[in-house]
Amino acid sequence: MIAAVGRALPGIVALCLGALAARWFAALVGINELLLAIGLGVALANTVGVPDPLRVGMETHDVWLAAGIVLLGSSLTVGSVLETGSSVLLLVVAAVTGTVFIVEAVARNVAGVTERLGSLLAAGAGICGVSAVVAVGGAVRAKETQIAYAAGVVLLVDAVTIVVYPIVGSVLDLPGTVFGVWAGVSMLSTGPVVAVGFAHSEVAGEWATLTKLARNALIGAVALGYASYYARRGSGGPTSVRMLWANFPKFVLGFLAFVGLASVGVFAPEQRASMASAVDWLFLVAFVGLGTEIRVADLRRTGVVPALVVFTAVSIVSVLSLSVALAVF
Amino acid sequence: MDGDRIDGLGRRAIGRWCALDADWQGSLVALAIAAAVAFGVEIP
Repeated sequence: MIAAVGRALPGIVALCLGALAARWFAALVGINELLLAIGLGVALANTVGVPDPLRVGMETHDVWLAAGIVLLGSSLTVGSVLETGSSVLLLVVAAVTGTVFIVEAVARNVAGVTERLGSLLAAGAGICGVSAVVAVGGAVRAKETQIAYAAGVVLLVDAVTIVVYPIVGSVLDLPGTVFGVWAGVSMLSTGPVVAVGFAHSEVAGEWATLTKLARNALIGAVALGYASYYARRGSGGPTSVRMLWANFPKFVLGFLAFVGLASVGVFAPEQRASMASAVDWLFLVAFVGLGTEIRVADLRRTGVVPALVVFTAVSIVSVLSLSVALAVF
Repeated sequence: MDGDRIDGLGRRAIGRWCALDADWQGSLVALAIAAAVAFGVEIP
């Protein structure tokens, strides 16, 4: 057990050093520190590669991202969430449903992708990236190769949207709430959504996170829907509450708990400021690690047709959700 | 004796920590930071 801590420590120290370097260099050259942190990770992974002694610790980036999201709840209140929350919720449900149907339709009728792979791509694009792919993969008894394939497509789309969304946000000069809701509704994985949101502005980051968490919470409903669809056709796997719970993003509950605590005034203003600083540091550390997951060689192995299917759906939903966000917020 | 007990507790705690998934680990990290802030730790 002590050895497990020892194995993780060098990589965690490297993530912290990367975060410090990103903050220092970003201030020096005037680039956004979160995007720079991701860039540092990408540069390391795609040049010399992540050294073996650092690998275990660097893979802990999910822990720091979850911690940052939970703590972020302390900067919001139930009142501020309810103000625009109902419109966001409607947009989230519409976007998830729309994405799933578009990917399924294009995959089956146009691209000729196998039914199960199409369902995995639809879940990954509609909900929360790789977690949704794994959850639905279990529910529809997909092959491991199909799960790996769909997860690869999700990572490819993540890599592209991390670059494209900040550019579009800047060119169109989108307000923080609009950009945040748009990114939260139409990008795929949670890490990149949070990164581009906070890279745009504090407000955009909060709304991007909130919107994405609402989307993530639908993972159970989509996995159950797919499970019952495939079960009716006699080709699904057993879906248990335990399996759904295992794939449910639990940090959503921690985030809501902190929103609740902040709403009843548990945190003093100076404590909220300290926790906001902690969130910044946690995201910086997480994003250095997240960057190391973007490996160009792996992305090249992703099939062109499945990637095109997801890119088509994300493009359609992205344009539609941006139009709605601009009209509503 | 006390040293052995503390060592045992530490090992059990690390064991339980390693058995948690990233979501729970992250939530506990957040809780620890919030507790530290509540006790007066300032994060720059």
